[in-house]
Amino acid sequence: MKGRVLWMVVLCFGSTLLGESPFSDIRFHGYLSQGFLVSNTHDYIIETQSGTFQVNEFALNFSKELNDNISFGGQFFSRYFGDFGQQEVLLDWALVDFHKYDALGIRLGKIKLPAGLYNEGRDADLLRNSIFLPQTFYVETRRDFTLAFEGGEAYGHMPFGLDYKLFVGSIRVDVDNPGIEDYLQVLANQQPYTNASIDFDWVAGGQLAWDTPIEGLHLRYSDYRASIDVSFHTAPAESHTFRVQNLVGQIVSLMWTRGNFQFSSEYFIEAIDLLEIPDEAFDQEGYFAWITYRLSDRWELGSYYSVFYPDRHDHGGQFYRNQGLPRALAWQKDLTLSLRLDLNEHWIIKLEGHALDGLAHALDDTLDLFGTTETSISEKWQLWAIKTTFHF
Amino acid sequence: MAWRILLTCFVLNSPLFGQLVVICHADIQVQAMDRATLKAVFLGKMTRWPDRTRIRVGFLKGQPVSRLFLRDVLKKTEHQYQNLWNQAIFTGQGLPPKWFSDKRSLVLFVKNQPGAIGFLFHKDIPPDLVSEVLVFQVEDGDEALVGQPR
Repeated sequence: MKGRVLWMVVLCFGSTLLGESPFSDIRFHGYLSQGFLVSNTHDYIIETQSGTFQVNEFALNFSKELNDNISFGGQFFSRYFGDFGQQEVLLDWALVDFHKYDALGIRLGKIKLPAGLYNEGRDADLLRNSIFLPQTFYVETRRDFTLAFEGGEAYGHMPFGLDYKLFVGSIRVDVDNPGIEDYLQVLANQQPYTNASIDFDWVAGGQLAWDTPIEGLHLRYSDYRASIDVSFHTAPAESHTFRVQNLVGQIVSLMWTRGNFQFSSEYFIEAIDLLEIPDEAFDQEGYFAWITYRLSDRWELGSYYSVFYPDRHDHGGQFYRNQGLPRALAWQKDLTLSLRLDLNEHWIIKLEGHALDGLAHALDDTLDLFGTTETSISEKWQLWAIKTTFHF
Repeated sequence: MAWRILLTCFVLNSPLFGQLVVICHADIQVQAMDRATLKAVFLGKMTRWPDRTRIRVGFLKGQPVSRLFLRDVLKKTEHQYQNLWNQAIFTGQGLPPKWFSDKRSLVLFVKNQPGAIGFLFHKDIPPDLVSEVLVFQVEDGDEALVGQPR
């Protein structure tokens, strides 16, 4: 927390050093969201079967232009999503932006990680039609550690409709995050562990976006790489160290906008190679297609179909079958229908239904697999969601 | 060097389109501009005039002229345009235009703010301010035609 406060102090009073009042012409924006989820048969990522209001988000941000070339800003953010977030207020992003040339700008600070069409804006519910983004790269369990990095980013707008971003930095990881615990438990062979630490040596990558000559057609390629050290102890005092020598993620995206109609699609793969277990790969894969249509100033309809495989080399779930577990743990397919109502310029209500096939996003803790067979556990289930957002 | 950017060439059906004008601060060294430039300016991808003056965009919201400009020049709906800037606001990746609901306030902004640009129907420019800003008519026609200050 000390580090976050320090960031904010530096950003707020950086302007003073340059001879400006720190509070003149500052723009403030924010949002507040509250949702309700309920599912049948299984829990979806958090405990949803009996219905839950443990879904909310809050953000408050500010930005200021110091002069024609330099601006800065930051955003405080908290979320509550079951065991994720727990309403702890975090510094979501905070940066200084040097922008003298359209072809080259530099951002320094804590910066949203450019991946796919939606990662940078995924915290803000108001930016999209649906409540849940397609749970591929954007799976909620990864959200807290794939959203932003601390470091620098070069960006610019080039001729022929090309935009680019290149970044390098590091990511701070909270080892108590349930999404991180899932990874650690796999590495610890499901044994209890203590003194865990995860250190990103570096994360780097880039994004190339192209507004093609075909009106409304936008293509994008995102690439990110990282080197990570992982260590923990298992009883009795046994120390384990793992080195992720090569984490590589790639996302190919397409968006086509024509009038009130928008179509977007992405294909995502991520490979994690562990130095100590060369034969073990943690390779994920996902893709989706998404259509939205703005019916009027107020109403918008959307639908997507997404597919996610936690192990892209085992689409059929052979690994789980060999352990006597349901094969459906190896995939998650999701057909979603969502309706967005903009009550006014600042207030949104969304309704959403998910027809799910597979158990990859079913909550492990409550998924009673003991004694289950292929036929005794339901692979097909549903999730319903409602969410409202106020923003300014 | 006199910078010239060509302003456009739209073949449009709307009878209102002939009234659509782009207004700029009087000191801007531009005599015309093409549609791609106009689009880059209003989408935040071009932030400097050729003489390096910072471009300041004023945007008239929620009016028939806004819908016409968005549909025929930027090829976006109001919701899409607002969403684009909300994305910038909530990710720290750009500062949005200055929004206006009042036409006179927009013209005053363009008059007083170096590098400023906006749009509206020509008939909506207050008569006492029409000589205080550069006014470019957005013309139909072919690519070679030039929008001239009025």
